[in-house]
Amino acid sequence: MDIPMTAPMDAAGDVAVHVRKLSFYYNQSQQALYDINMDIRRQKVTAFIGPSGCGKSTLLRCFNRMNDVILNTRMEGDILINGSDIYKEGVRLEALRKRVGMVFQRSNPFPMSIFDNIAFGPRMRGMKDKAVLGEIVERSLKQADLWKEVKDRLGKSALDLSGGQQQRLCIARTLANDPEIILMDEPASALDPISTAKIEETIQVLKEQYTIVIVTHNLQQAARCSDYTAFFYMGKLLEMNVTGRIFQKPSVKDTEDYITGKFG
Amino acid sequence: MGSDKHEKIVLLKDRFARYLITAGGVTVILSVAAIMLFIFIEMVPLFYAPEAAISSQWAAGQRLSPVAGMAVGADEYRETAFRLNETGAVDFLSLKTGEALKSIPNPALAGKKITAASRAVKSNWIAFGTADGMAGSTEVRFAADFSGAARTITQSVRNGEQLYQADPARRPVRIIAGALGEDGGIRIAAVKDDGGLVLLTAGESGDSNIAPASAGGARITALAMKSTGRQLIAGAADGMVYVFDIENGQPRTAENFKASAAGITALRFLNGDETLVIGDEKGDVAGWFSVRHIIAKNGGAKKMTLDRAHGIVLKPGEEREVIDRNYAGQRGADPDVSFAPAGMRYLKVRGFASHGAAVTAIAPSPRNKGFVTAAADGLTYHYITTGKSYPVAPQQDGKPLVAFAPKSDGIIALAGDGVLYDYALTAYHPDVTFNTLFSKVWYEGYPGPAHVWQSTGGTDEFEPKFSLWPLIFGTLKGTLYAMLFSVPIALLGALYLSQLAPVRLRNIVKPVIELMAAIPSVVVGFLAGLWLSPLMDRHLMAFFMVLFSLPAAWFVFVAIMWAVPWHKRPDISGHYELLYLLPVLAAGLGLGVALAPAVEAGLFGGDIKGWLYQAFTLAYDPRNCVVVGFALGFAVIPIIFTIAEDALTAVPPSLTSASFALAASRWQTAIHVVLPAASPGIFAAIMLGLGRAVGETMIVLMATGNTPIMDWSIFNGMRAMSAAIAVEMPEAPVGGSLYRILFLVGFILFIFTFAINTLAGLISNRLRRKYSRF
Repeated sequence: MDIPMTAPMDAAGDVAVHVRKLSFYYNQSQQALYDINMDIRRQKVTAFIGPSGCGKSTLLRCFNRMNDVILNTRMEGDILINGSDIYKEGVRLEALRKRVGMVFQRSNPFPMSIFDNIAFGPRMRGMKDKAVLGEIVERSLKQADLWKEVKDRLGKSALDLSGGQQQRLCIARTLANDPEIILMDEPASALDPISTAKIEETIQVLKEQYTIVIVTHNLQQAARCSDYTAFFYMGKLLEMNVTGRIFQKPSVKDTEDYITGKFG
Repeated sequence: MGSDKHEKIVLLKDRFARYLITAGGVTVILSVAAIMLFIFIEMVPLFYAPEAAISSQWAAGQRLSPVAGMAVGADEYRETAFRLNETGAVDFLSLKTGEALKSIPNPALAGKKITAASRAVKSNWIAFGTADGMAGSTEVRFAADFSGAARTITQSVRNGEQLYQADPARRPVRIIAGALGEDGGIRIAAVKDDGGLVLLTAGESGDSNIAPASAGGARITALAMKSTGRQLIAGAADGMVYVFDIENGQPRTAENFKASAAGITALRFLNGDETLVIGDEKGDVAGWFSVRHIIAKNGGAKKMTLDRAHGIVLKPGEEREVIDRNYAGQRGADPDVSFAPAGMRYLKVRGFASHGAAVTAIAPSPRNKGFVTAAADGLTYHYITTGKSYPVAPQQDGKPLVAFAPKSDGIIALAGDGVLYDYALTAYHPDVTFNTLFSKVWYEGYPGPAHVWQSTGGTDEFEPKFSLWPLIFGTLKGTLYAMLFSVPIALLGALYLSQLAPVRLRNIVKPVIELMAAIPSVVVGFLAGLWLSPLMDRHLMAFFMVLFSLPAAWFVFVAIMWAVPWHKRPDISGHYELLYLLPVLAAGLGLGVALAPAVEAGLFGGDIKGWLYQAFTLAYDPRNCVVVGFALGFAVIPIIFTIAEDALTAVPPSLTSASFALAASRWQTAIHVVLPAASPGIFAAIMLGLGRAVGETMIVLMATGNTPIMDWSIFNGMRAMSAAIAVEMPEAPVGGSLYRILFLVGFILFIFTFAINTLAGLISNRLRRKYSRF
């Protein structure tokens, strides 16, 4: 299947992530991604949709090289972030991941206080100044719309927060690293509708500053909060376009079938 | 219908399983309780007070003859008692029936009258003096015969070869003391009617010698002689005690001391000749030890503190006689202070409960350090080690003769009214009290109170020393050094293997380390004691060197890696640190070993052990705590490692992922995320390791010198509680003090492990509440 890139590319400076001819294998031979080519726009929300096992999370995890910890994986092709190849030899993972933050499907706060959770990233990079850390924590929590709820109990365990609060804490924790790109791997899939709505609101605010890539199973969510949507199927990128186009006039039959609920 | 039946079967099986499981559980709990109960039952008699009860009493004055008795005793089985009466005849009386058995006269004493007699501690050898100034000896013997259906005891008397003239003026001998030498020679000291003291020495061949002993004109009221015949003690009416060395037959005054404000009325050496018991007119009883003294002289110009603990400060030029506490051999001994021997001096070490009247007789136990004192208000049993006194029979009339039965299980006393009393003495464990187990005790021959564990000696004359602190200390010391060695290694190993090492390496290393736990500890102990300890003894310097050269090599390696520019550095991030580090560490090891002889020769005069002793008075013992630390650590490492590694691996990947995604490095993730999250498991691992180290027996038994000393030095050994149980079990007769104390040691060991486990559980739970709510 030959996939045309239907969305016309803007100026190159607008692209945060270039993906070129990316193939990915688990266990050396089991191919998970086939020849992916895509551009992800700066300060836009890009949603990856597709049925389970289609490779969308795998691709997401290539962006901050989280797949490196999995043994016996192999990647072909290039990923360029701001024009530089992140798989080039000598790239420091810590530096990459500072720029490309990630929020996981299940909230995973550390068994520490709320403050320590948020301050974790800056501290790991050597920040010790209490005042600066305090500012970072406050800013991040405000960005994640959690500040009002937790400002009086920053010293309490993060594990005492509700599920939705924990996930926003994880977003705040990522923001504390001051990333350029935020990867979100089904961030609301384990949450109730109200918490989900809050996360989505947060995403809308965040996209003004950050490039966001969100993997989701929830098509409404993709429709509601993303600017671009990419549809994956069987490890291939079938279609990528402005979200409105994908949901109203998909150019590929499989996309339409998936969106209308014929499979998935 | 079929399903009904099926339901019934299920119900039946369920019930059966429930009963079986309950029975199993209850059995386990019961057996643990039974073990505890047994230990407790075996241990508790240690603290029973001695008991004495009248077993029989007979009017010997009527049944035998109405003459006065001079000495009493009994046979080993307490069937027959004897009485040496004033005519010199020995009368035997059945203690079972009160029947007079026989009376054996001494032909040499025909027409004479005995005025003083003294019985030996361990035999029925009796020295006596007569009204006409003669002195002699006789020995009562019992022979048990088991050939018949019942035990028959034959009594006999072996009289001394001859009588010796103690007083040429033929006046009565008033007080007598004697000793029978191993060569058959005898020594008898006698106080004559005029107050003069003479020492009579006679060889087996009959040659005899009389020498006067001068007590400066004091009125001598009591005599005692060591059973070796080496020392004679005379007590005077003014409370003075005179000590004579009589080894060569010529009394030589060794020292005089004031023992009491009242007159001395009874003197006796206890079994072993170490302790002198002194009884006085007022009824006071005290134990005196002979302690080595030295004269310390401050030849310097400054005030000099010789012994802070005992407040011994010497002014410039001052000379003082002090107890020899090994000052001369101690570190930092001031060169200005000189020492000169001052000989032995008697010191009052223990006072006992007083009688209400003058002490008239002292009878030492032939088996231990107990003794009985007699006074007008009764008999009292005392024990020298514990300083305790137990009344045996209050209100004994008159001036009784008293003696121990040969097995120390009874006391024979002859009252002034001619009644012979036979007491059964159940002493239990008179040598053990809570204080002797846990407080400092001044033992015979020691310069002061000390914690000493020395449970058995060759003979009854030995004073067992049962302080438990050296053993508790040994366990703690061994455990400490083992943990110092094993905890860092095991935890770092677990951290490396769980967080940093490639999975393939992990799959090999983990089972191998777990296999370490399967090595029988006796093998580890054997290796430590017979291979590692001599190796270290020979190459001590190399051991020290490696201690520095290994980390040094590592540091140099890291420094070089840092100096190399980033892009030129070999890629060691991909789990290959080990490949790079191994040769580096090997080089460090080789360097340390290779340089050791040169360094030893250059800096430590070619003898590091000698240098250690010179500089720090650190004596190097080949079986020391470095070896124990290695060997015990070797046993503890697999436990800590395995459990800690499991705990570290069990940390949810979501946490490590979060940490990685937040740009933390592997090392940061391991330290800041994985380690805290795994802390309950790691703590549990350390505690289990601790429990193992505390309870481990074979390694501490074989790798330490088993010296029960209290010294934190890493270069000497120790004796752990578990090792003490194993070592001394064969030396502990069932029901004896040592036997019960070993149970007590086991009990304390159990308390230790119980406390460690409880503490581990509590803290582990707290940590778990804090760190593991995912």
